Amino acid sequence: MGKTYVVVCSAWNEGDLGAWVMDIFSEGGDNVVVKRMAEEGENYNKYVVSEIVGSTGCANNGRFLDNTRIVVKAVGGTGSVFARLNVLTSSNPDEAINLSFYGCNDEGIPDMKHKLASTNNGVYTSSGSVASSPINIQQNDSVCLILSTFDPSPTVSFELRIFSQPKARIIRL
Amino acid sequence: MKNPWASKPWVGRYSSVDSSAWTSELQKEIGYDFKLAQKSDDGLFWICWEDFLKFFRCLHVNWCPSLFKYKFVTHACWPKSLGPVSDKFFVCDNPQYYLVMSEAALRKKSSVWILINRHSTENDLIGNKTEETSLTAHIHRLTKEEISSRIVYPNPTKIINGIYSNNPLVMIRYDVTAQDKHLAIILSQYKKFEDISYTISVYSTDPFTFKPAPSFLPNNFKLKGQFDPSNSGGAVGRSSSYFRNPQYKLEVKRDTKIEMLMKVGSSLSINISVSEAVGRVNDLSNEVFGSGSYRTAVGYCR
Repeated sequence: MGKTYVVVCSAWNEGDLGAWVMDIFSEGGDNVVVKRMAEEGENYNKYVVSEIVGSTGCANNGRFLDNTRIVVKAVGGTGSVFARLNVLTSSNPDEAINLSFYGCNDEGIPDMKHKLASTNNGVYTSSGSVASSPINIQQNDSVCLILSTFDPSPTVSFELRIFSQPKARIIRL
Repeated sequence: MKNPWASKPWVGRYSSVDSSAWTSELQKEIGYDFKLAQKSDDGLFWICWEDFLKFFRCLHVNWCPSLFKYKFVTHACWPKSLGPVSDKFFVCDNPQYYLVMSEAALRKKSSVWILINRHSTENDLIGNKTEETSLTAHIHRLTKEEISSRIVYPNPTKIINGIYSNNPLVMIRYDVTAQDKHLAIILSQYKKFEDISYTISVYSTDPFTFKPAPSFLPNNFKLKGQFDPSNSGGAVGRSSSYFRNPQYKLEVKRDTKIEMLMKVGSSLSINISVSEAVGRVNDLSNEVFGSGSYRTAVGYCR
């Protein structure tokens, strides 16, 4: 029975540059097939938001909507959108984070009953980096991204990468 | 003592011309025939300790290979093109041999003597060389699992660090311990600049087997890539951009052993991680194997 694996090659420092060669040895003649996977967001429009903010924590803390909110409005057609949230520095070194997409109106007010996607199915993780699954967005529709930490945090430096097939307008609320 | 020119012996005290020194009792005690010695000049002679200290600055002690009951000899060459100039970071391209000691050898803590004889080249003979090959061998201790593949990293399993020498003869002596069932002998050059050929002779007082280390698995798929500003995401657990790193899908049709060997041209520290997944991975919760610690210039996993 066949199986599929994903190989990740990395260097120690972000931004390290250099050519590499990898030999993959196996027993069978045509037993192993290796294919390059598209880079994250390849062929998507990329938008980056970097800020230092405070976080009001998850919904249990009662001020979820006071977290950083960003609206993505499709202005160039219809297609797929997803996002990655990277924590650069934080007052809490084990900051558990989450990123969720909600449907919203033209003013960017999210419909909390209309969650479209959430990283790790809504579970907060301290991995330092989370990515959402893709959602579909129609021409001129808007979706609202809410960035949050599990516990309230006074200082979080983050980088949000938004990948959108249609050209989009990014609005920081 | 022996004059290495095999003639012209010492002519002082206790020499073959010093008849006053050689009493019959002394000749009998050391098995020396004074009259016979006078008739031949093979460069062998006796000398008293005080005179030895006075007239000699150094001596070489010869050894007798026939003292070892078990011996194995193999001949090979190491082309310049095989492996990097320096094996500082990885040794998988170096000639490697595996030595399996018998239970008797382990029990008796036998001696193993490894003699590497680098064959002379024409340039050696006519003295027409601007550089000299410095060769040695390192000994690694392996587990039973490790003998199914080659040694990649130069250090973790090393127990004897050979000394590089431009002498065409390199000798490494080792007394095995109970943990030395599986040993690896890895040839190493200080700075490789020419093809060399050599003979390895292994001697021991107890049985052993000696054979070339296995090659990597036979089927080889070669990937070439580069870390560039768009995909160089940094180390796992160190950089939040880790999952931006290059990712490859590996489809395996039937159960197989896999080995992965990654090399970089520059002195980056690198790592390989393999997860069970179908799409790009965003966490390592399904990692099944990897190369472990980040290492300069090379990463290996199996």
